[in-house]
Amino acid sequence: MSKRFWALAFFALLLCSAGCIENKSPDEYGYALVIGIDEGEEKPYYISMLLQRGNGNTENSQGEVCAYAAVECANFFEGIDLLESTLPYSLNLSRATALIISEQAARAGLLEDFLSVSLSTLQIRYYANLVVAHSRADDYVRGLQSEMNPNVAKLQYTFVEYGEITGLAPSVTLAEFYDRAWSGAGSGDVMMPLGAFTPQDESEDEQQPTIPKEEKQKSQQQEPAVDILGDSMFLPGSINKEGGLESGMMGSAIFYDRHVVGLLNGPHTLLVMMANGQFEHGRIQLAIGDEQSVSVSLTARKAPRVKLELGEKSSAHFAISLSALVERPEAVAHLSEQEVEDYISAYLERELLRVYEACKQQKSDVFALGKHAVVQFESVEQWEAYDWKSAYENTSVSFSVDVALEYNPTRSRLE
Amino acid sequence: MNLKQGRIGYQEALSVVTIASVVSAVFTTDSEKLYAKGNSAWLSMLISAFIALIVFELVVYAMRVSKTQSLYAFLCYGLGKQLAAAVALLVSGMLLCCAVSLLARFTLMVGRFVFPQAGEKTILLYFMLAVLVLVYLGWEGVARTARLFLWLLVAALVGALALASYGYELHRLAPFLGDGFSSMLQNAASEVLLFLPAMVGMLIVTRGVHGMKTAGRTGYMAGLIGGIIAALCQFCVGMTYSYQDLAQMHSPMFRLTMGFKSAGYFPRLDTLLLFGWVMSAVLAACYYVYTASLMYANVFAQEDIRPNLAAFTALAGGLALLSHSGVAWLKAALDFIGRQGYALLAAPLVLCAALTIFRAKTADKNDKNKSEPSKEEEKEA
Repeated sequence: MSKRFWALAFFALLLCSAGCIENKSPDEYGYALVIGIDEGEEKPYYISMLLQRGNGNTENSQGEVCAYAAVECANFFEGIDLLESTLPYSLNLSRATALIISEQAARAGLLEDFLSVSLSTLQIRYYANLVVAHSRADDYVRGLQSEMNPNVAKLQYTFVEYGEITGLAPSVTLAEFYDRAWSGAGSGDVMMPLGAFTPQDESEDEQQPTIPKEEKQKSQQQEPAVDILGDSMFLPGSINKEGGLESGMMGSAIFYDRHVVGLLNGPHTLLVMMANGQFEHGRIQLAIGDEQSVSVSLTARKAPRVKLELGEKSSAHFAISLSALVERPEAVAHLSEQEVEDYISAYLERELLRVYEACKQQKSDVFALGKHAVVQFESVEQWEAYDWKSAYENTSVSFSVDVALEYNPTRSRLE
Repeated sequence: MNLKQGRIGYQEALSVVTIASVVSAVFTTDSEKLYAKGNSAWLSMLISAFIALIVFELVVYAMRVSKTQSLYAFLCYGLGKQLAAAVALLVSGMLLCCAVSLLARFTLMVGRFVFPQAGEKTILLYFMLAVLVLVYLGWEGVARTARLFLWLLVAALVGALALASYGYELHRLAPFLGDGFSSMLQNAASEVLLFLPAMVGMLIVTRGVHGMKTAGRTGYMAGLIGGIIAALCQFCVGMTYSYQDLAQMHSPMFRLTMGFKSAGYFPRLDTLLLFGWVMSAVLAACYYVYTASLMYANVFAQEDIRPNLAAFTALAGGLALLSHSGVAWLKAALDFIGRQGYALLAAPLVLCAALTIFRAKTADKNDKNKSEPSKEEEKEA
C-alpha cells in the first residue's frame, strides 16, 4: 500500500514539476474569425482581423459583436506580435474561418508569400475558406460586421451553402488551395470566390460612428469590376442593392499558379463549375423563342465526363448532363419539349466554349483538364518532364450538354 | 521469476500487435521520402506488409521445425549462443527504436498541432508516465488495455477517413505507379520495418499467449490487418493530396482530419481524433518497450524484468527527447535505421531461419537413419 502511495506521489510531483501544458482558459483568448490581407503602404502587408471573445455567445452583449483590429507588418508573425501588444487578451487563430485577400494583393502574388509559412505553427486550420475581395480586404472584413449577423463564425457555411445552391460562387478551402496551387498543374488552377463590398448609404453610416467617414470613403473607392469576357453583370460595382451585409460574395477570381489573372462573373462561374464537376444547382437566364429572358433552374444529373487526347494539338471533350426546369412554363408553352432542350443545350455549349477560350487566354486551367492529363502518364518522371502548362495553351475543346427537361406545365418551381 | 508476462487470449494479443503495426505504419512514415517520387505509397505498403509476412512465416516455420518456444531459443538453436545474443540485442534495440520513433512523432504532433506553446519535454513527460505505468503492469496489462482501446483506434481512423471523403479524387494518385515499379519496391523494402518489429515482438512473448501456435497466428493476422489498414489509409491520403503536397507534410493523417468544406459541420474534431491516436501510440510504445525488455532479460537470463522495464522506458523517453534536440549522431542513426533497418532486422532472422531449417532437416534425417536398421544389420539379424 505504502509503495503504491509513494509511486503515485512521485508521479504527481513529476507532473507538477512540468507545469500545466497550457494554463489559459478559453475566455482569455481573442479568436480571430476572419483575417484580411492587403498590401501595406510602408511594409508589405496590412493584416486586419475580426476578433471574437470566448465562445461567441452574444445574448447579453449590447455593443459590437466582434472587435476589429488591423496592423501593417513585414510578415504574418510580426503582425500577430504587434496586434497582441494592443489587445487585452491573447490572440488565437484556431477558429479562423475565412482568409480574405484583396484582388490587388492577390494579383501581386502576396498570397503565395503569405501561405508559404507553416499554418500549423499559427494554428490556422486548413478548412478556412479563401476569398478574393474586389476592394480592400480590411473593408470587406469590416463589412461582415453587422447586428443582423450575430455570429461571424457561422457565416462560413452560409457562404458555402450559397455557392452550392446557386452555383454563382465557388468555395475553396486552404487545403484545396494548397492542392491546386502547388501540385504542379495536376489538379487544375484555383477558382476562388470573389468578394463584393458594397458600402451602405450615408444615413446608415451615421448610425455606425465607429469608423471615421472620411477614412471609409477613401478606402471604399473602387472601380466596377469587369470579367475576362468583358462582362460586368453580377460583379462588384454593378449591383444596385440596399440593406443586407456590406460584404457579400458573387463570381470568382481565377488563378494561374498562385496569382489572380482575371475575374468571372456569377453566370460564367456557374458554367466553369458545370464543367469541372463542382456544380450542383443553379439558375440561368436565356432567350428561348420569343421570350428574351426565361429563368431555367438546372441540376447536375451526374459528374461531367471528360475525354482528353494528348498530342501536339491536344483536344478535349466535355459531356455534361443536366436536368432543367423552366420556371415559367407558359413562356415556352408553344414549343415542344425537344425544342426547349435544344435551346438550353445550344446556349450552354456556346457559352461554355466562350468562357473556356477566355480562361485559356489567361493560361488558367480552371476547367481542371490537368486532372485528366496526369492520369495518362505511367511515371512521375514522364509527367514532370511533360510541359502540361504549354500543352494546355494549345488544347482545343468541345462541349456537349445533355439537357433533360423536367417539364410540368401544371406547376411552377415555387409550387 | 518476475517477468510480468501473465497469460492472455488470442483477442488481446491480436489487439496489441495490430495496434502496434497500424500505428507505426500510418504515423511514423517519413513523408519526404515516401512521397518524393509519386503517390504509390498505398501499393508499396501492401507489398511491404507482404514481405514482412513472408519473413515472419519463414521464422515461424523454422521455429516449428526446430520445436523452439521463443525467439531467443530459436536464435540460439540456429546461430549458437554467442551470435544469438548479439542478434537478440539487435532485435531488442530495433524494438526500442520503434518505441522511440512513435513517441518522438506523437510528441511533435501534439506539440505542433495542439499545444504549440508547450515544449516537447513537457508533453513527453505526460506520455512517459503513461508508458511507465502500463509497462509496469506487464504484458497482460498492456494487452488487455489494448483490447479495450482497439475500437477507439478503429473509430478514430475510420472517422478521419470518412470525414475527409468529400475531397477524395482518384487523379491525385496518378501517375499510379509512382516513379516506376523498381522505385516502388525500394520504398516497400524500407517500409518492412513498419510491420516486422510488431510481428517479431509476438515471438518474444510466446509464453504469455499460450505458446507458439497462438503467437504465430496472431502475428500473421496482425501483419495482414495492419497491411490492409495502412494501405487503406495511404490510399485515402493519396486521394486527398497530391504527392508534391504530401512530401512536405509532417503528418498527413492529421491534415486529413481538417479536410472539411466548412468548420461549421465538425468543429475541432481533429484534436479529438488525435487523442484517440495518442492513446494507441502509447499502447504501441508500451508493447515495444516490454518486448525489448523481455528480449534483453532472455539474453542475460534475468529473472526479474522490472529493472529492465524502468530502464528501457527511460531510455526510450530520453532518446525521443534527444531526437527533438537535433543531436547529429542520433539523427544520423535514426536515418540509417529508417533506410537500412529492414535489412538489419530481417537478414539475421532469415539467415537463422535458413540455418535452423537446414539443421533440423539434417537432424531429422540422422534420426530416421538411426531408427531404420541398415542392410548389414538386417542381414545379421
